[in-house]
Amino acid sequence: MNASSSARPGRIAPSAAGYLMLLPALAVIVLLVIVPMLVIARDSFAISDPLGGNLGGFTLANYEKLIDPVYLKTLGYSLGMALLNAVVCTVVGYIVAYYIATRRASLQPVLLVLVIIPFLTDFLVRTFAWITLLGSGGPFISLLRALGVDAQSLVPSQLAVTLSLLYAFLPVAVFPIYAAMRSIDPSLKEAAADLGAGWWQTHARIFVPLSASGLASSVMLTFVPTLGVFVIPVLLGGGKDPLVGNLIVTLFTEFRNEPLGAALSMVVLILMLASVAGAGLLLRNGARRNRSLGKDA
Amino acid sequence: MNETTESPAVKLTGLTKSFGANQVVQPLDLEIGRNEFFSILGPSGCGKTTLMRMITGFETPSGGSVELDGKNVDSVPTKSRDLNMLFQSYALFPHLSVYENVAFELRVRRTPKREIDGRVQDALALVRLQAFAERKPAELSGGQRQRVALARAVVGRPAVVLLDEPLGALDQKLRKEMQFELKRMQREVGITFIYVTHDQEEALTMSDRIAVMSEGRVLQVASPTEIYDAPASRFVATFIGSCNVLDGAVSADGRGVVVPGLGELNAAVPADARPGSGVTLAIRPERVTLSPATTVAATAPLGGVAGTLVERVFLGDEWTFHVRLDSDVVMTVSVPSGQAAAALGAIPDGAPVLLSWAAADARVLPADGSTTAAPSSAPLSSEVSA
Repeated sequence: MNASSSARPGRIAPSAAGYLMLLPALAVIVLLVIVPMLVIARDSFAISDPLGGNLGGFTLANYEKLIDPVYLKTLGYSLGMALLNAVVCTVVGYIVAYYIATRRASLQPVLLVLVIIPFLTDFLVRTFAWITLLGSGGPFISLLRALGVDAQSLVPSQLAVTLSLLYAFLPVAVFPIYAAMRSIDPSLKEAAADLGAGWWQTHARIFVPLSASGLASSVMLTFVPTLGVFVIPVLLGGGKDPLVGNLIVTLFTEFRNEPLGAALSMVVLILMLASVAGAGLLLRNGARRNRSLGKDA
Repeated sequence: MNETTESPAVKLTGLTKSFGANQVVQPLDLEIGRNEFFSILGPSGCGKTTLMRMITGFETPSGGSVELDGKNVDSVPTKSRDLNMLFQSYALFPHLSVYENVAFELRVRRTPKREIDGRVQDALALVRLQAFAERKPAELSGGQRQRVALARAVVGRPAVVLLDEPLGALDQKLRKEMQFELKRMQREVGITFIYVTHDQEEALTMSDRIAVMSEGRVLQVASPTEIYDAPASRFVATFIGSCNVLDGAVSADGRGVVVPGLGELNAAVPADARPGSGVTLAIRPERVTLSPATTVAATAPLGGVAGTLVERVFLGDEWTFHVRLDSDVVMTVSVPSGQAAAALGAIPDGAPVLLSWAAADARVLPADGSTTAAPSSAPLSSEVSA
């Protein structure tokens, strides 16, 4: 049993034609991801001209400049927002995924498509839609006023930013959690009820632990891209509380300080990679712990 | 069973379930005694699983009521019913160790901590799995998982444990062992077991009483010996064990059954049977005596039928002989392997033989409306089911 479970699923032997078919994808990744990243990495060590030019050469001054309360505050705020959004997305995503996974089999793909459909429209268009929804003439405010609440426009506000971030990353949270939940034997729910567990106990003791891998993926997949967001805070938050993404845009465009912007980009990139690596390590340890129990004790 | 004034462990009154227009469980009444090993036996799709799920509360009945220990539980949710279920898939929690699986109910029901360990150990001892407490379900064999599921079901000392085809996933040898284990455990813990199965052998081996179900109806509730020796209907006769079935009518003198093409046959005709009424004759293969026809068929005594030996099959513990009767019906005769079978070895295939049986072994059952209505020109039916 152990031998068969540890055996790798059959792999197809790589062939020349196979590598050839990989070339276009490889070219796209190298040209559009690797090369620009190398350019940014190189620029982050470049000497900047007081007027915004990039003089080349090598210096650590850009990184030193980043150790400044202004930058650190923004970075901290961004990390906090990303973490908050990751947690909120994962909690809401868990509820949505559980709802979908417990519908009848024929309905599940339909519901999943409904989750994705809004995301086939442009990101910017969706963000503008939130301005309309939460703005002074929008349905939300109108409803509050009809109920007699003296409500002002919710845009710009922190709430609008939070809501919009949740909306932007929810499908990314729903899918991994749904995938983890779908593999849970539905009779476990009945078994839990049979053994006296109520709604809370069933989730806390059975469904949450069993979908842990999906929850971890969800946290990671929402945390990382939220760190790079810059349009939402400008449009819905009025730019009062810039995220690190906004700061990078400002450094490149308004301050025309490419090396400093590049250095900040590198810091964000490293933070993202570190969180991905951390989450990966956690997941693998969990998997190994389960597997090592699989060996004869 | 326990003929006391106590209320039965489970009492079903007019219980019925429909899915849309499809009535999967016809209204039924059933009482299951305390400490009884009660089997619900029927082919797949007969409604036995739905019946069980209504007792657990997983399904809401379309009508009727369920009483547990004399109390109506129609509005009591599953988690508060004093019963546990052993799922067909075992439904063990894969992320929890054997110990934690068994302790689950105690933790959920907030049993005092100092009590938990002792009770979990007792339950593991019952199923002889103390050494496996720290393993995960994935590291156990099918039989071990099944025992964990049983320990988990009895640890909370429920009044009733329902078992949904628990041996279905095990191989033949293990299944036989587990049958005795289950019976032993049931006696040890003193809990009512309601055992749902399509396997007649399991039901016969373990049960105090069996309810035979077909198409949403309970056809007979009786002890295993009574079900086997005195089946109430043709379905029960053929579903439990093998059975030769012949359609005929009660003879004019009311002492035998006349089967078209075979004449009057030896049978245990009930005293109230009306001569000429259509009946079904059911004879177990092992109750039929096979002998070489040294004389011509016409001289066969009452109850003896002449036929031709078609083939014989060796099954290890017995030989099965197929004999074609004059009416073209094939009857099955089983003979324990050994001397009795060896004596018959001299009869070549294709030779004429004589079949006979004691009157008491030929059960007379009410005929199924559909089969007796058939005109005499239609081929006679004989069913043998394994």
